[in-house]
Amino acid sequence: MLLNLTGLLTAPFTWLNLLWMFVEVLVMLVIILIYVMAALYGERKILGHIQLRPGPNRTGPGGVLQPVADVIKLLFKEDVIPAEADVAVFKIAPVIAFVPSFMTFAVAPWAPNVLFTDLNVGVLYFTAVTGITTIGIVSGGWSSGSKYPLLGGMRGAAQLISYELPLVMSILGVVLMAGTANMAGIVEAQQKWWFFFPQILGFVAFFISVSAEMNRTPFDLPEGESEIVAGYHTEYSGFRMALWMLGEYTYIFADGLLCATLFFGGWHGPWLPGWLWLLIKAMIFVFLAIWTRGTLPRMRSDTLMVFAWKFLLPLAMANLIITALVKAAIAGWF
Amino acid sequence: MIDFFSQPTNLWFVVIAFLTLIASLGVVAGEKVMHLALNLGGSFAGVAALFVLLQSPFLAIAQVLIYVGAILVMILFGLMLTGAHATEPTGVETGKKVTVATAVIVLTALTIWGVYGSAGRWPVVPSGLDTSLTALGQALYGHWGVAFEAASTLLLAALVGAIVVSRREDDEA
Repeated sequence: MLLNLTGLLTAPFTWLNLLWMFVEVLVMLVIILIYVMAALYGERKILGHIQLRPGPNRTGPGGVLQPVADVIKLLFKEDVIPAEADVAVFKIAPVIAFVPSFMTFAVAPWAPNVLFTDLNVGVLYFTAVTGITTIGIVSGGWSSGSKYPLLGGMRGAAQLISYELPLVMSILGVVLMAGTANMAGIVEAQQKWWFFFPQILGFVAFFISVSAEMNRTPFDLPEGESEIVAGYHTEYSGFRMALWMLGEYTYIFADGLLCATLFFGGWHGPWLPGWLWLLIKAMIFVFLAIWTRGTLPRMRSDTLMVFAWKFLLPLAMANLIITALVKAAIAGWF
Repeated sequence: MIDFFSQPTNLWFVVIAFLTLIASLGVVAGEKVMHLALNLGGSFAGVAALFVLLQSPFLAIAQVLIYVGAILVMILFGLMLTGAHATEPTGVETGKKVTVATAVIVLTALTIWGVYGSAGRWPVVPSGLDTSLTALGQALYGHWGVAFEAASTLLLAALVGAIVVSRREDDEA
């Protein structure tokens, strides 16, 4: 089904192999684009049912062609650049925000030996790369040359920095338990049981902070449509708006993969092939993200920071210390 | 020269080094403060890519995590709070520019002379060091434990100092 990717990694680095790498990346990009279309439709349908309305149901059977119509509309819209905008930064900002979300897929372990790169610091790579998106959001907000995007960009920066700490701290518990920061190694360490059970505290901290990193309700303060219009992407339209949306939805997928890998045994599962299990687990995460969006109201900006620094960070640290103590105690007994 | 480019790694090195230099040039030659900061980010990312080429993924990731993900975001955040629309030219006098340019040229010449003058005197061999996370952790918390803690204390002192300085200005105002 999927190519044996690690075979290519250990092969000599020639031009032909380089071409193959580009082809593989292209295939991944197409898969993600298809996923984003499905997620757009799924989100509108699920939100519709949560709010007791049918959702899109006119375009195609059951409205399945709605995302196609959405995308065509976005691509044909005029690409407005505000007069006050800093044109160069305005154009590059959505790219800076989207590219890292795609780069995270390099370390996703689909099955034994099916992964783009077998990095021994894969988890760190994931968190490091996602940090770049903050720069895209800040510069997008700034370069629009208007007040609401600037506010949204600043909110985004503050929120993403604050929630990155508990996120990394909660991941460290898993890394400590698995004894490796390699994504495939972490999955292999979950042969017997999922880390979800022993790392339940870490999972709570992880799930909340990863939701905050995704900038979605209840953490969509950088967009906050009832307060600051649409936040950092207020002035964007057409294709560049599509890039922002693409980045947001790609992150839900990527974070789903991370969540499944760290806490739910990655490719482990009966009967079905490994990559399908990982996909199913990631899609459950995507559903959860849509579900929380339809259920919870937006947080207030003053409670947002207090929650990250005074509740989530101590929780993740406590989890880390408990994990270290238990691991040392077990090592002492045997 | 043909031999040099037959290795894709060498070509990558030239491309990445070139992009990094362009970004670095943007940091010193640009006019808008925001552009300088973003170019700095490009320069950091380029150095991280060079670390990858040198087969040190951990250093590359640390470079991105700390310099791009933390320091650059802090710089941008600071710019936003203190007037990110600072679009005026940085306004350095010609005399200073000449001094700096001279210093840069002399230092670069010295470096190139040092590198080529010493060519062949020291053998270039792979260090053979264990670059795994486990080895790194054991070195940091074992052998270099005291130095590590001393650096942490220094950083903590700097943080507390920054808070004290900024708070005192608050009280006077």
